[in-house]
Amino acid sequence: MKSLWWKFLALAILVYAAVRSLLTPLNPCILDVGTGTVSPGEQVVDVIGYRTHFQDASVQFMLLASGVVEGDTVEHWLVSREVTATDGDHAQVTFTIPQQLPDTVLDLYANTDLDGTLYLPNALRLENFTAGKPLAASAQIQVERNEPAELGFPFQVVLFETIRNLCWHVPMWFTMFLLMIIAVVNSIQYLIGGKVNNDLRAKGAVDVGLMFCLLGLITGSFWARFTWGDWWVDDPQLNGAMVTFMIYVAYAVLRASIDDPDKRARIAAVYNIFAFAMLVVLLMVLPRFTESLHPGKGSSPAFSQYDLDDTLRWVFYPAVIGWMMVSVWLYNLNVRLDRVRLKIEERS
Amino acid sequence: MLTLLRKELRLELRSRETLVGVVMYMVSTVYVCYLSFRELDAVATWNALMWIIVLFTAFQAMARTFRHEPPRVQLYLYTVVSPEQLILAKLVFNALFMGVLSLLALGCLVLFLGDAVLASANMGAFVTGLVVGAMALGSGLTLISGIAVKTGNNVGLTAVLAFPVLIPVLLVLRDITFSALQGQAFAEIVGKLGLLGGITVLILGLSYLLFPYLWRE
Repeated sequence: MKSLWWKFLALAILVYAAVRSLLTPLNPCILDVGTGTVSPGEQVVDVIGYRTHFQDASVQFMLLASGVVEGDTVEHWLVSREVTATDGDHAQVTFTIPQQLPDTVLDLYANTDLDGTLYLPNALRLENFTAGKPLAASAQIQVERNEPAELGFPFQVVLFETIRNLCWHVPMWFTMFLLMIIAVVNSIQYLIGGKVNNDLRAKGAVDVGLMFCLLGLITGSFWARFTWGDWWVDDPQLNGAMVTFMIYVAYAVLRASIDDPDKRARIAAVYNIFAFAMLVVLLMVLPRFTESLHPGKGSSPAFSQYDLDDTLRWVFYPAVIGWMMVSVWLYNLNVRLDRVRLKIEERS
Repeated sequence: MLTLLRKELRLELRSRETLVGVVMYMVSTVYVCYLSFRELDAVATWNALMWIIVLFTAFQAMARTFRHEPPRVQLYLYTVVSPEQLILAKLVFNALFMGVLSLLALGCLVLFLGDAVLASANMGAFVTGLVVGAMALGSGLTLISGIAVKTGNNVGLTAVLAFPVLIPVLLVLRDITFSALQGQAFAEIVGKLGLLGGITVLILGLSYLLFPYLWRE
């Protein structure tokens, strides 16, 4: 019973993380703006919100054009003249678009009292207008950094609802790393000390690590489908992950093809150390040297730079810890099973 | 150490049929490519083809590293030299061997498929990338073939073990020679060459450290 409590804890954490990651609502956001183009003059724009309360809240919409004019960065704000909300998620907003603006692309902001501050970058594109210095003075605007009444997961333009996958996909890879580190440490210890135990541990860790690697690939594939549009994308990080998987499958094949247990342990240990070095090169070094779409690699920012808010953090970190605990549990079971098998073999 | 190197070289020259076999393998691969492509102007395809040919030639060449010594000779070597010396000799020999083979492969490719793609290339950078890359592949395959031979000369296993390990090297190589073929200056690929050098040093160091455990029996 003494050694059981942390297993229950791990399961509890996982259930908590799973439920929270799937049920926490997304923060209110602006999904889309009518046709996406406007020309100068009086313009009515359809704003489509998601989980917003345009009808009940007091809303002020603003457009921002910022660009470089004659060497200076100019920010020009436009404020909505009239807002007609048809329901919570739809509103007709009237703007007066001037003839000259510093940029052809406008960002949309909204100050609301119920939904917090909403923001949609590159919401509108201007047609039939001249780029240049604004003729009138910019409206004086204070963008309030409001928070919605009920905090949910942060809204990101491309990710949208798939941001939940952060709590599934990323922990898989963290867990795999943990297991492969356990494996390589045991392989080194085996080569130094020659204890059978270390070999069993290395093998057990690689087995479980491979499973998490596969889960990471699958969850990542789903994410790629709904953000990048394809199940598999040619990207150094993705290729690295696939090759890592192949390397460790090769480790399993290598073990299976040697009969003499002593020889198998020694050769597998040598290959495992080699494989781990390649894992580090593939997943940590190479993607940083080449351009990668994957967040955190190449010039793509990691998620923490999007200001991961506390709601998401409080699901993400428990998920990481929970999966790691479960993986260690699985690894222990696996090693014990192999130890029993070895004993049976020795007896017969 | 030098003696060992000389022994490797002499063995290679003496067992001429295997040497000829490797070269023939490479030439016929290039010839098959020539028959299927006739002419090849696309730089990306040419580059990929070259590395595929070099990679498979390397497989053929390196698979024999440990095999052409009968067990009695291995036992003898084990008693007279340390495993560190042995692996060093093998690594140096295989790297040089692959360097020469890659130049031969380049020659064959130019002979059969024409040198249209090389017209705008930065030749110095290209040949450096090719030779250094082939040497990296050669040394990378040395330890792997050592592992495979311990499992009882399973040829299929060499491929299963070596492919994933060599892919990072190949990815960098493809980029290096591709940039060079497009005529980029040497300075622009120095970063990648450094990365390649880093990976190669890593492979060499690991081979040197791990081989003694593989060897003792």
